[in-house]
Amino acid sequence: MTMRKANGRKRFRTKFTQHQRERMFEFAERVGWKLQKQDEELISEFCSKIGVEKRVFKVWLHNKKKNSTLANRDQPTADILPECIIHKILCYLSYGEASRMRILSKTWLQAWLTHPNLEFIFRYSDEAIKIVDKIMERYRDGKIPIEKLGFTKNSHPVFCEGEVSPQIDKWLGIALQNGVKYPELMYSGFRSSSIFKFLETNLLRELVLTGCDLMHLSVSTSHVVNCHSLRKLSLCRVHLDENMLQTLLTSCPLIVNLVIDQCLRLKKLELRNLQKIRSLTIKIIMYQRILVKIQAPNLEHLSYSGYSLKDLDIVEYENLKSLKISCRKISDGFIEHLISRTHFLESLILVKILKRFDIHRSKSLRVLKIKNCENIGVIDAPNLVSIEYKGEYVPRLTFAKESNQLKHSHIILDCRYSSLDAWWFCELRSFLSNSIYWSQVSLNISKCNEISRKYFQLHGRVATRQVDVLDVNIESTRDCPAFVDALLWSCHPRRLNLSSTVKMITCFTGHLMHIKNSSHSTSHGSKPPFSELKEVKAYTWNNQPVKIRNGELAIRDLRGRKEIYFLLDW
Amino acid sequence: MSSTKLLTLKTSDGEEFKLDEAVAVKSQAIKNMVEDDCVSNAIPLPNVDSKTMTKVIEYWKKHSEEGVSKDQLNDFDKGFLEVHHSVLYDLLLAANYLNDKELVDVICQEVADRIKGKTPEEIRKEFDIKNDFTPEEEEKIRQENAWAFD
Repeated sequence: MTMRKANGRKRFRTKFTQHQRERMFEFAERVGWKLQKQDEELISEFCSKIGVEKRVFKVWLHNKKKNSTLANRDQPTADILPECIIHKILCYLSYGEASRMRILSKTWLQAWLTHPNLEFIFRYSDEAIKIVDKIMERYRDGKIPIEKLGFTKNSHPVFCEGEVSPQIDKWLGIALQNGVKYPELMYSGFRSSSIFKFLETNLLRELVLTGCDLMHLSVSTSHVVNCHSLRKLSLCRVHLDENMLQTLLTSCPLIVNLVIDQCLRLKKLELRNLQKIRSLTIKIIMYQRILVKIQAPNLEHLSYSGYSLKDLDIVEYENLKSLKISCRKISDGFIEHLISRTHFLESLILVKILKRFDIHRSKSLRVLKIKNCENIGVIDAPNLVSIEYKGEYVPRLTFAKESNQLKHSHIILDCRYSSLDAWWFCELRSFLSNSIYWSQVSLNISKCNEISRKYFQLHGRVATRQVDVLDVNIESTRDCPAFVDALLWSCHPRRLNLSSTVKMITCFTGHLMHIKNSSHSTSHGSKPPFSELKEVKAYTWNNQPVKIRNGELAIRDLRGRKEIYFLLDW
Repeated sequence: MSSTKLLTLKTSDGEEFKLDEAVAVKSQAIKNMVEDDCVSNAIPLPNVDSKTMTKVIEYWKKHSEEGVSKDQLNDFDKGFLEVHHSVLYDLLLAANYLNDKELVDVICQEVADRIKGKTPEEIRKEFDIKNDFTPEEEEKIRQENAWAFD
């Protein structure tokens, strides 16, 4: 397309405004840097709109074409992904993985160098500081935006804390200056006297402090700043006193999510009149008995972990949607009382409670998880969707009525310290047959014992319950076909996940095939006491099928532990 | 009820797709055009070919359907993304061009999942990425930017 006439006339150099340039570029990308006949009308319309002559535009197009990767692409490869997309992909990877991507190609290296997420884990002293300093300065000089920033210290006895502190302030300053949108700060093991200064900038959305010492900051009411941006505050193993905590909470009235985890220097914890808080997590280690008072009328999620629930004083909790309690001691009837007051409670997690409790008629309850509680009464939750039980022994669970919305029922038994004999399997089978439908059963076993088969005869008449998935994790290597028999006698899984040594897996495979083959035969001799196993198929963890030849799995690597699963057809 | 206004989208290979406006505005770019009122004719999309557009529309339609449960959508997404990486890139570039943040995120997550746990060599091989570093450059980068990870 020859637009310019090479004659003696003085060349007139068109000047475009920034606005025109932007619109032309946008439009050019839209039409793919090609002017086609069918777009004539569109082009005319566009040109008149921005006040540029058509032929002038065509010239500009021709000149600027090379700047667009879009115009020059022929075959898609991950090379030509624009940087912003590579950043997104890197954000979905763990930080360590993302850093390994930098040597893929130049484009990926460039994307890595401008990655908006920064996470520094300190292992060595002087070198580390120099590296981090260099990187932070590069970001500052290049005005590269930072979204996330994290500092973690791996404890090293020689590490001098005093040295790092002033640098942290500088680095944080850079991050804030770089137009950071949602910075998350994870400080670990550093002291900093500038927390309030950072809060004041009103840019932080989340602040996560781990292992910091804020005891020596003398605060008074004059230190209260106005921070309306902070939504989440997490203090884990932070040394601070009540005064400091209150000042922080007063400074950030819009906090929605608060975590206080093992802050040992607190003598008491009073969280009064926190109107905006929706989620509260409090973890108190066993021997730190402190009184906790909570007044948060809009609280929806509460997680309390401490020694005694008597130390918790909470008013106005009617809006609770989810509750997690991990406590040794609770007062009589506490749970029942709580459930009757919370009509919106959807999720309830109870851990390590020694006293007996019942779940009375909770219509709203959808999710129930019980871990290591010994004494459970009646569970009456007609709309339950998911239930999980975790413990060491086969439990006694009584359900008032089986919920017809139950999608997921999981029982996890950690049997590493129990001895699994035939009696134990009888108990398991009884439990599964008489209880509600359990979709998943997980067993952690340390060793297999010899099982006496005579017990199986006793319960042979009751049909064996079907379960969807049976997970078995076995540490030992002992060859034990009777064990496999016992497992499959207690329940019939559609899918059997096995995580164990190769030797054990081989034993399982062999015996499964034996069961399958003997199911097909009509001899009544040594027939295993359960119904037919029609088909066995084996797969690796990422769904690759594994052939079974002569009762053995075709696996090449015979060392170590493996995970495979069997699909069983009964 | 909702307007049944149809938009016409024209891909790079000249094929035209007619689509409900309500579905098409999942693309922020198209939404802007609708708001700026420049959709009297077919909307040209020269960076998207018909094959990719078909897939994008399939995704949009499924995610606009009423009465689809979250589980069903997850299953659909899983199947939708089980494609060769070149198809994935076409989709990614199209989604980026059309400015559909949700689709871009979903595909990026899939790419990240495919990358996880692989060595750089394996990744280069799987995704056809050309290594444009000289061995010296590569070594230099390994040394220089190694923080506490390698």
